[in-house]
Amino acid sequence: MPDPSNSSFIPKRGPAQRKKGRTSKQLYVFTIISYVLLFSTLLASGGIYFYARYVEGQLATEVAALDAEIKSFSEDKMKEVLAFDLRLAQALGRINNSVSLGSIFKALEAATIDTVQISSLSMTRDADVQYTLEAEIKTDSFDSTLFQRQIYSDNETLSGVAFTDLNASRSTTENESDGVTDSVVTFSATLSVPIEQIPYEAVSDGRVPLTITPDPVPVVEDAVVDEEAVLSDESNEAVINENGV
Amino acid sequence: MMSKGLLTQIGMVAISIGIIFTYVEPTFSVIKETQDTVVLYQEEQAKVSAVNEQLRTLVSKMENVSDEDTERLESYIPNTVDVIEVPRDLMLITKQSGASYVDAKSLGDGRKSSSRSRRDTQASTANEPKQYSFSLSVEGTYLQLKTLFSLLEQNKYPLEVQSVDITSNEGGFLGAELTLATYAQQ
Repeated sequence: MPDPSNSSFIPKRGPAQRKKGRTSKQLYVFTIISYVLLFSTLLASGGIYFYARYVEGQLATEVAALDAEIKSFSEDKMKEVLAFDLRLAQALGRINNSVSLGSIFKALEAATIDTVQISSLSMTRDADVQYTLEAEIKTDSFDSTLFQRQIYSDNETLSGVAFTDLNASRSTTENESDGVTDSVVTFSATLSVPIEQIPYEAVSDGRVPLTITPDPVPVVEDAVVDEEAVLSDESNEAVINENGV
Repeated sequence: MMSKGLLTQIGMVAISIGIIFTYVEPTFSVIKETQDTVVLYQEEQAKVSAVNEQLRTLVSKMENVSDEDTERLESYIPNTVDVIEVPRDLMLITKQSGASYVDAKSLGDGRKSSSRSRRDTQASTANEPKQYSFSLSVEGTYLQLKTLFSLLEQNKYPLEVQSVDITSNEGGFLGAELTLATYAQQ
């Protein structure tokens, strides 16, 4: 017999056994990415903003430092230094090209043989390169001329030796009464002396103007050697090769 | 149909991308340019600083030169040459040498023309000192002339012999015609 209690049309429910609903905490990758991206972007924006301000500040500091450095540059001092440097360089240039004409005379004295007389002498400086010497020379024979040319050519100071305008003649002298005539050979000599061969050598510290007392004027009898190697007039008073020079 | 949450997430990503492209990236570029400029300024500052340091060193060296040496340098290459003083000095030097003074006069001025400056540019010529020429006529013995040349070489300012003509005069003396050059900075 059916249970009358089951005749109700109302469905019966058993003892409530609710299933425990599992709480859904699903995290989606896209959600994470979007959050991370947003917050990272915001964070980066803030960082960049402050870093940009910092860099701008740094630039302002550098600009100010450069301005200060530029302002500390003294144009007047620079001009003063440049003028001083130029003066020094010019002085050095002239000192380096200073020459001693005494060295030329010394070389001439050493290289002029006894039988040769220098009638006239001219020297011309060719910039800072050399001195060109032109001399009118008188001697007694062709042999002396040849010998003189050899001596000049062998001299270390003199160079570019050239003899021109050679002229041989016979001149009478005081011995004419004895029937003796001397032959005279005249010629022009051109010599070159490089500047570097005759550098000036300081003889004092230059602090005090040097006063030189001239040596006594030599007379022919006092000159021991080379009396005829002279810038001479007829009396041969001016002797080139005095002894001890 | 999209959920509200997904729309929000898409919006967040879009905002992020928008911020990146409209602010972060341009600001990065600006920062890079600024940093380049900073480096440039630092380099320029270093150069200017080096110049200033060198200038200070040179000024210090220049100021350490004694007054005596400075005076001698300015005597050797003066600012300008007095065309009256030099002939007077030539006369005194001639007398000191024992030779007879005949004449001395100024021959004018011009820029020094050395062999080097002929080859080099006009700029280097501008650095050459200005040359002043003088003539000097003297008479004397050979030794007196040698003494004269020696004294000219020892003068406190350069008296370069540009040319000399020596001839025999009557009475055993030699006549010498000299052309001398001295220099000034201007």
